[in-house]
Amino acid sequence: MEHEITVEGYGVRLRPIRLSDAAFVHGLRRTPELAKFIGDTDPRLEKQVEWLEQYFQRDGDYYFIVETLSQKPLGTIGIYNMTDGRAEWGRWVLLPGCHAAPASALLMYRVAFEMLKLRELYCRTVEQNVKVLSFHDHCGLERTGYERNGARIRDEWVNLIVHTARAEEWDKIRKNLHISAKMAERWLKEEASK
Amino acid sequence: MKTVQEQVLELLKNVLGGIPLPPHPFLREEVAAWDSLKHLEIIFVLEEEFGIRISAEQAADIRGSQDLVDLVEGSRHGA
Repeated sequence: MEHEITVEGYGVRLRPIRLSDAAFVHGLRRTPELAKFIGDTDPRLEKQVEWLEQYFQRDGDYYFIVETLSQKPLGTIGIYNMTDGRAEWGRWVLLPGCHAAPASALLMYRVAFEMLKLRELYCRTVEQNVKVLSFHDHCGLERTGYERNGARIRDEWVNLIVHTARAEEWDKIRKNLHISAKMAERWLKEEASK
Repeated sequence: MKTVQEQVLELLKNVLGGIPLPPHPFLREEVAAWDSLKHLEIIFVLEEEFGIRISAEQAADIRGSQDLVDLVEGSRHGA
């Protein structure tokens, strides 16, 4: 949907995705080292444009570009499938080595729990993506589900692990992300000043 | 007195929640808990403990426990 939510902190900003971001998103999702853990992306850029055009018409779907404060795009993140105060988050794809993971996750939780007032947020991660599973564990999220053959990537079924964050856990999650986000903020500032 | 290697391994164990670690030297990919969140926390604690400053480039080059030891020893000798 065409939302207007922008948040920033720790040297990172989440802003609404625009149609002009299509080429960046398409290139990002087709980065070989990232593509193995995310849903298949059509090689045609026009399909990404079409997908975004449909997204703009869809209610309850908040898709963001993650960027530096100087507007350099670093990745994407989204909140969607909203029902009765519960939603999924994902589409979390960041340029390799950009250090924006803690800040982008923290800002996304802020949007979910402080702005959208959600009571529960869940995410689904490919079982083999052990580093991201560990990231969610260390944030303090509980593993609440297992979906056998939950997604299809590169013509193969993959199992998914579900993590859930509840609104009452937001303060704990924020604390668990804070140190790492501060560390990354210094590097983002150093890179911006070069 | 503890060696730098001993101090680094102790720090790693503490930050990673006390889980058993492989014999030193080991790679990040051998330890599932050494994710991007913990990697940043490890760098933060390393800077605090040893009074050193680590750049993003140096952090990106850390592939395992020996790189952390080398980074601390190199920073000390270069100081």
